[in-house]
Amino acid sequence: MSDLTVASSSNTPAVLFSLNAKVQSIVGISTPIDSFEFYRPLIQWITDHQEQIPHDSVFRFELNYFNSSSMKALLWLIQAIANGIGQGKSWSIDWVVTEDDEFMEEAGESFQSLIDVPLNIVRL
Amino acid sequence: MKPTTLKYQIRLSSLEVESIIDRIVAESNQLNIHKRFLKITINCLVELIDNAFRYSSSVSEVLVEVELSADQVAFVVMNQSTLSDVEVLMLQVESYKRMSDEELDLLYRQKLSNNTFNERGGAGLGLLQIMRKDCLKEIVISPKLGTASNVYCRVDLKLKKCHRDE
Repeated sequence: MSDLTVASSSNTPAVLFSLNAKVQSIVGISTPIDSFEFYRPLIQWITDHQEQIPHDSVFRFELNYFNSSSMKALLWLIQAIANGIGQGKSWSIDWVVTEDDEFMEEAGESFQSLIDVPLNIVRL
Repeated sequence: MKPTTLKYQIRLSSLEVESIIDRIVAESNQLNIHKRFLKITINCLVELIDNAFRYSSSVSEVLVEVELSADQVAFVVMNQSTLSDVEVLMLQVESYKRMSDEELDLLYRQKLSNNTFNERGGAGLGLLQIMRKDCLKEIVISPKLGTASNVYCRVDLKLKKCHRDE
């Protein structure tokens, strides 16, 4: 089974999902026009590798800014992670927010209210 | 300090958008724009350009004007469109203007959590997100006639710094 690595671009974040690491990260900006096309393989990877993703993995979202269609696609990705947690996986979700970034803070709170498992807002 | 006006006429590409944002960030340091206000400015610009992407033909150019000062930002974004698309956006914004903050929040949560993207790949959240900003001063969408009976969608957006950005 393989890792999922995507280099960052001018409108998409870097993705490092690894079966050999305990931090699964998405870092950068996310403004693709077809957001779902970008996030679909990430959702698929989580669904396909539920049994191989290490225990105590942290899914870390560290985004600088994103468009609103990415927000919806991110919610679907977070819901896929939450489904795994709901089925007993000991994963966690960190949503990283920098100082004075009210938009990211609100986005994290919106996600928190729409999923059934904890989402940690990590303030840097 | 005197406002800075940035004018761009860009082909639709993510690299162009990235360069505009980089320029705004650089100018904001000169103008002492508060970090929170800068983030809101960038967020609104991303949504305006995203909208222009979705409602333009692939060959068209987008005009982006940004007037930056420490306490106010004014955008003009204009892209080739169709009259019916412009009218849809105008009606949307007018209906959002009639809503209370609570109604806007509820609609936002409904659109975020429904399981669909629209036929243009959008989430229907961009204009709503802008309308929910506490520093929104004005948003006007209007059609403009171009040459050879082309129609342009013009969006005028003004943001004003609020006390939280002092």
